Amino acid sequence: MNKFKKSFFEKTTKLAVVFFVVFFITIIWNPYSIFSGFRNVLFTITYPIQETLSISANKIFYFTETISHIGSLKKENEDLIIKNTYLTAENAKLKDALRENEILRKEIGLLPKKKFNTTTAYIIGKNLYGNNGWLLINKGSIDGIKKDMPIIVSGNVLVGKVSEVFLHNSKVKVVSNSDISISATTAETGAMGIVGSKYGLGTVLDMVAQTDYLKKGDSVITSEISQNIPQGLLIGKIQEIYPSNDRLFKMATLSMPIDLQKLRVVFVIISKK
Amino acid sequence: MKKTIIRIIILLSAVLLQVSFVNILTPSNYNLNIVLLLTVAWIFIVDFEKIWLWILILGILTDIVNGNMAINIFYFLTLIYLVSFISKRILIDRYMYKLFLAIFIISVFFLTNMVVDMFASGKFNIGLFLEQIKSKIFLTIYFKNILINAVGFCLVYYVLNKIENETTKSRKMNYDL
Repeated sequence: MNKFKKSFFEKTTKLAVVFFVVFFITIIWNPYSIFSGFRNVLFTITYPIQETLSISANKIFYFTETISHIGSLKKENEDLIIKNTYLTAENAKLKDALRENEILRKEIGLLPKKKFNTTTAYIIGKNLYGNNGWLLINKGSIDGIKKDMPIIVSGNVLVGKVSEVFLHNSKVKVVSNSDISISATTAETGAMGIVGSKYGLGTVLDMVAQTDYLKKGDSVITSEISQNIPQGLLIGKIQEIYPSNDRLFKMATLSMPIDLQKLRVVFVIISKK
Repeated sequence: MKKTIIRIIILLSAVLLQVSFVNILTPSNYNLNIVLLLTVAWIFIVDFEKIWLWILILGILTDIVNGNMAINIFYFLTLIYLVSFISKRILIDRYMYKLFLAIFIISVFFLTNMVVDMFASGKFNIGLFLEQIKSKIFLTIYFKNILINAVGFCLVYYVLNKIENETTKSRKMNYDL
């Protein structure tokens, strides 16, 4: 009986000590630099495996997508032909407008519109479940990636910001991550606010003054005071408008222009041209 | 030594498969949680005293990769305690019992995950929680998640059982020699 008591006491003490040590290290001390360093080593060593796994996952994803859409391909093709004809005409009109714009800019002495130097990166890992969504891209410090660089797709749609840089890869916090807040404005009415994430609502444009006008379907873009993020990148479109909890401001839920789950390639803005 | 190396490989494979394979393949609302399934399967296959430290390391590794410290560690510690508590009181020998217990753990895990998310965003209130779990979209996603993970559990359990049996066999053979 004594032996049993002794062994039970030893086991309980051992468990309690481990629990306390883990609690102390992870919650009270939480040394970011040590964990970040470990993450760096882990991601650097396992980079080839991650790349192979993500390529295989992408191949399977595309294969299953093709199989599941095989029935609707004919209809989609017909729709695309009609759209293509419409876009060709639209494109011709825009080219004409662009030429006219360049002539006018020259005449009034304006410089060409700002563009960015970007680098292409493939997504090799992700976790989009819950409120802390992140992506892992295959470009790191060796490719000139730095913390807080903006990530875009399709020319000017904001995906997120680089949050951690490793040797061969970097971690990106997506716009819907609860840790992110970006200064934004509506393209149509110029209402200013902050884009962030709220539980149950998804991505929202918050802290909009009551005097500012918001309209459903308006585009929300990055404003000139967004830190490290160029002005004019599309974040989303206004879906629903609510008063904030304290009723001092207005708030709007946003629909995202891209499906993050289907995203395979992104662009990192290295610098402005 | 061989067993230790194999277990380290299992831990790393689970975390890497989760981040770079499963998360890329599955739609964002659906979460096949390989790491959770591995934890549950391990508790069923190997004795609690022999495996708890490995599960603790798995929790730490998952948290380090995800960058949100302490969440998975405490999930897994609670899980180990819960499963060992139940299995000591109810004899769980049959595979079907294990599967039911695994499904129960998975369903509790997804609900607690939601509560933790609500707390983390400072938006927790019982009203919102009840409203969410009553909605049709939530219920559809929730039950599909449980189904996907139940199928995943059978696969993970089968593979892990094979690996653990093989390593135990080769260890016995070494002793015999």
